[in-house]
Amino acid sequence: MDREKSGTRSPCVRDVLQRGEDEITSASLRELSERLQQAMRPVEPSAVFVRSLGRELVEASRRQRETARRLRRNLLIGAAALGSVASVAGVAFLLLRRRALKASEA
Amino acid sequence: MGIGVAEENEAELIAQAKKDPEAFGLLYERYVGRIYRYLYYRTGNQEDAEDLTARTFYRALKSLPRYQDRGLPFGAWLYRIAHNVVANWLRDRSRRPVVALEALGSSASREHGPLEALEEQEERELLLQAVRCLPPERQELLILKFVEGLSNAEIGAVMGRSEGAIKSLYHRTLVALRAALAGEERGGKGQEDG
Repeated sequence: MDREKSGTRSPCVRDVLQRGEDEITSASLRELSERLQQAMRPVEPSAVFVRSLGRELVEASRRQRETARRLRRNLLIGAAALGSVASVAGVAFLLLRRRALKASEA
Repeated sequence: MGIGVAEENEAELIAQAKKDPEAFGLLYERYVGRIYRYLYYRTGNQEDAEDLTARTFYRALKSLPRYQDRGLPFGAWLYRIAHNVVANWLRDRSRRPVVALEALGSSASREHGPLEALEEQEERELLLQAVRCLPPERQELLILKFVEGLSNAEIGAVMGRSEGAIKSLYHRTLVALRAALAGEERGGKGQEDG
């Protein structure tokens, strides 16, 4: 008794008390877990919301694809135009250079 | 129900959704309930949950062309987006979620008398308030476990942690929650006494 009061319990008593505390702890956590299971019930979104958001998303997806397609097409056209301008400029440069050479030879 | 058990054609559906808006609609139908429930318990009310559900799916739609299958379920990718959306929302508004009244209505209230039902509602409200005071990742864990019924391994896939880490986090969460509830009860009694 005195030993217990002074906090020098035998290892055996300590083990038994510890086991008891662990059991109480695990029982109370189990009980809390059950309370959580009761409290956190699944909820469902309203059907109107689900339908309307679904429609909006499909529409947005369509617009997104259309925008991407238009962007690709514009990029292609831009690249082709740039290529054409570069070719014309190249030919013009060669012609001018040849003319300049001829003029200098004459 | 588990997100790990992806339907056979999910990968095909995702690939198709990158090209076909209707396929994205099918993916949306498959996941809207789960994402809504997750956001409902994070925000505490229907209006904000709907708003954030819409934001989540719009963001998913925008990011879908860059989505790559890295072994994680598609649902995990969506939960990550929802997690970021709700984190931004909480930061921007700097407000504490409130417990929605509609969440408190239960089948129990129809089964018991009005007094018992009221007590049950109060107890549930207290518990949900305590849950919402937990750090976000612990709230997320509890929602995925109790509302979505996911296993520790599936929660790990969503939260990017190992199954063991989830198990340990769950235990710590329960201990913290129990301490918070005990504190509130003591506080309540103290106020009544004073």
